[in-house]
Amino acid sequence: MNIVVDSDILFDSVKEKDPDNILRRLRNAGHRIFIPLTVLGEVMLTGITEKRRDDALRVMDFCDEIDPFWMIPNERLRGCCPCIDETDRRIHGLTDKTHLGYAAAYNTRRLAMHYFLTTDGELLHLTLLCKEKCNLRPPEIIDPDTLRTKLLNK
Amino acid sequence: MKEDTRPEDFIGHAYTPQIGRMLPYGALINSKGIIVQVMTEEDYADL
Repeated sequence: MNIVVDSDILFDSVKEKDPDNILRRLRNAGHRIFIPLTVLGEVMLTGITEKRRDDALRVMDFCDEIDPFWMIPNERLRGCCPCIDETDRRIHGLTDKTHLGYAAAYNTRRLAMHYFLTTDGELLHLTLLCKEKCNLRPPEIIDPDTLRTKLLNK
Repeated sequence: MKEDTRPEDFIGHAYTPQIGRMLPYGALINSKGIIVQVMTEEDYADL
């Protein structure tokens, strides 16, 4: 399965020292991790503004280990963002909506994005409009515990 | 860069912002910074 990851998951991953780290387990089980450029930017900016440079560096080292795919912006992203706005106008986090936009923009008939992994409660209830607008199965927005149950049998 | 360079020709190259400008449909970069997959018009033809 292809899993797009939010920045909170990356920060949580470097806090956990136990082998039950969800991203490590997903990789070991053969799933693929995708990280939008805006998530990388948020990690770096949080490292600077919240004086969490060590955490940001740990995230970078951790990314070497889990070997994700970095997603760069594309023309499609510019079309998906207004569509996400339309999904639920109560969501105010532009950064979070843009992260989600990457999951939608790279979700095509040839390359499906199956999940968007986050702990952000504001996003977890959303269902993207990929089916209605493009006849594509939307990436499911999912929290770590639910994804563990679905993909890791725990 | 040659004028007839196709986006797919960048697979295997290290990503740079200059190359990124030539990839309007996007690309996937691995953790070493290498372009491993390029999205093309065909990926979005029917969307």
